[in-house]
Amino acid sequence: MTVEAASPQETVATRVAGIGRTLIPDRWLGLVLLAPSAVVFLLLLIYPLLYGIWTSFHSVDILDLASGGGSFVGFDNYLWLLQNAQFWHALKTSTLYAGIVVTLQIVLGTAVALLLHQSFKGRAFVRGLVLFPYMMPVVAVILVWMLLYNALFGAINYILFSLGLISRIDAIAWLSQPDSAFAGVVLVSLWKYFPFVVVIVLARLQVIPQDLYEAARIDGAGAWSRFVDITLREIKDVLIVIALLRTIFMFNNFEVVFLLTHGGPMQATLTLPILVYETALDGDRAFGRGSAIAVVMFGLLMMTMMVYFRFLRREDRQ
Amino acid sequence: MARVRFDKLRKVFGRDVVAVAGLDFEIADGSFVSLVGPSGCGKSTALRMIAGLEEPTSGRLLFDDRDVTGLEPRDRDIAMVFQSYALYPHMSVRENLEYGLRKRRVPAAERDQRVARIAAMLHIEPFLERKPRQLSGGQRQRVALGRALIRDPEVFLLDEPLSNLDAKLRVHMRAELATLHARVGTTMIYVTHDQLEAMTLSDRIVVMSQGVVQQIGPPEEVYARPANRFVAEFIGTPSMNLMAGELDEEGGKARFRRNGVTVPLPDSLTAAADARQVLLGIRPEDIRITADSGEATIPAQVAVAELAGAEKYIYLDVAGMQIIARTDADSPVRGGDRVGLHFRPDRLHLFDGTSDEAKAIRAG
Ligand SMILES: Nc1ncnc2c1ncn2[C@@H]1O[C@H](COP(=O)(O)OP(=O)(O)O)[C@@H](O)[C@H]1O
Ligand SMILES: [Mg+2]
Repeated sequence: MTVEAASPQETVATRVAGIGRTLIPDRWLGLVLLAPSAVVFLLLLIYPLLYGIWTSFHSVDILDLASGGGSFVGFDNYLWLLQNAQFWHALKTSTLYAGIVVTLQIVLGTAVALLLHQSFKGRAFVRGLVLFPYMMPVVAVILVWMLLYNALFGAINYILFSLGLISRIDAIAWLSQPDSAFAGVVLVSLWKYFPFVVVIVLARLQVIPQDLYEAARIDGAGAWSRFVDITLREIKDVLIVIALLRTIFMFNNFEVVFLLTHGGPMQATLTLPILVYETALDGDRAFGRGSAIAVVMFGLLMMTMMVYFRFLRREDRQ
Repeated sequence: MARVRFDKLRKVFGRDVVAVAGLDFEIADGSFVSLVGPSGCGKSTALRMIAGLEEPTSGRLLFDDRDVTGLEPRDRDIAMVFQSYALYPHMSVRENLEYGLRKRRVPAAERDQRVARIAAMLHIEPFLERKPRQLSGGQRQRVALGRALIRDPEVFLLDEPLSNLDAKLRVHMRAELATLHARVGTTMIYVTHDQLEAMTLSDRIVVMSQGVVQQIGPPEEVYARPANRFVAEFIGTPSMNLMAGELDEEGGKARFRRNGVTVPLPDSLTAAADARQVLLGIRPEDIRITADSGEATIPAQVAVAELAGAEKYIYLDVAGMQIIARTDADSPVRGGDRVGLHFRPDRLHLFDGTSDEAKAIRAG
């Protein structure tokens, strides 16, 4: 039998593309194929980022925006920001909000994933149902929850009345008091986004080899030991990735907070994205200052990611 | 160490998947017993019932005289080596080895001592701090063995432990397993689909097919006196030659007949036969090939002669049927030759009927 030997330089790509070696050499073909997505990537991601950074060093008003101009102000926008109490408050609120929501999402999402990993009747249906909040449009979610939270005819107050926990006169306006508004925003964010954690953790659970559990049972490990020594260690990596992705997402999340509370009451839910909005797009129209906040947020998230990647590398080396 | 007794042990999955139809035998204390049979015959299920990983549908399981049927795996004092090894991927080799000891609250000093002893025995000392994924297949295999041995169990269960190794390593580990058993003396129950592994390692082998035990006995016996057609074909490579034909008689002497070819049968074989339709069996090494096709021989034509190292497999056509003979490598026989065959009369097997369950006909 004879096999026609392919020359080492010739690769699948050239042959599949049907483009002879003479027309476009391999190393160019790769670039040519990559070019369209690279261009889109540059236009859609890098350009706005650079423009945002540029803006943060300029004083830009609405007219400048149209002309693409603006006067250079050096670090003025950043100095303003450092001296602005609102900024520090929003930073604290954002960190708390992202931290609490992500933690709760991971705990709840993992617990639900573990439940859905068990076999029971109607499992497929329940698995689908759990995705429901994640697939619902944010606006619809918010409308439903505003109704639930409503002081006069909300279901939450109604349940509390029915259980005799509060009297009708003490109807709680959940989103109008600082503490309960913050908790309310956290609850909706948790409800809306925890299915993401369920889906990923469940997928990971399904590929844990069953015989690890069997080996552990023979080794004398009880249910709790098996969870800690096998399940938790197996899903640890995805939990870290989820924590990272969700932190970025929640830290940047605008719509849930804005639609529910606009950052109020008394700035109890004023997160950085809302502050950016208020500074740049509402009232002052100070685009430079707004951009400065956004750039700081970007920097903070980059730092978080770097810590994370360093951590990953250390894990790898072990 | 313990004697293991199966008392009508049965396992049915769902409504009607009978994985194990009923095991009813005993494994002697300290012996090495193999469950062997084709894939899907219920070997693993049987082993997993001994481990306590699978609950029997009915029947009992006893270690010595202790009924362990309902016990959790950890309360049975068994250890198991999995086909996939099932090493804990996030733990170092050392942690893998001592995990079972930790869970049983063995003090640290003793744990270290036992790890050191097992590591020395299996030559895995250099890898103790590595993770399983940093080991080769053979090394993982040893760690899996070590994790089972370290607990000094009463019964040691192995489910196709060598099947993920390459051929050369498999032969090597097979020998090591035999040495290991001789050294620790624990009762070992070994599951394999490889009859050669079963033959070389075991004191006794249990041949299974479709959830039913076909024969139990020492390897030599199962090889020399297969109880039925299934065992005859399953044990030994190349397989035993089986020829369908009829029994008849001539001048008071029994003989086997097929398409005009006759094979005289020793009296010892025919005494118990009542069927007319039978299978005549002869192992490849029990056929002698002669150049002349005289009166006393069976005429045949050589199809191919295949050299396999120290020996040759000769594919022969006898009365329209293909059979294989095994000869020395220097046999001069070549494809196309017309030859005469001589079947060793004391090595003939006769089976009652032609089904898989066709029983061997034996004297007395
Ligand atoms: N958990 C299970 N559920 C349903 N059927 C099973 C299960 N485990 C094994 N079986 C069936 O039982 C039979 C025996 O399987 P097994 O003991 O794994 O065979 P072997 O180890 O001999 O290859 C097979 O038909 C298999 O499909
Ligand atoms: Mg199996």
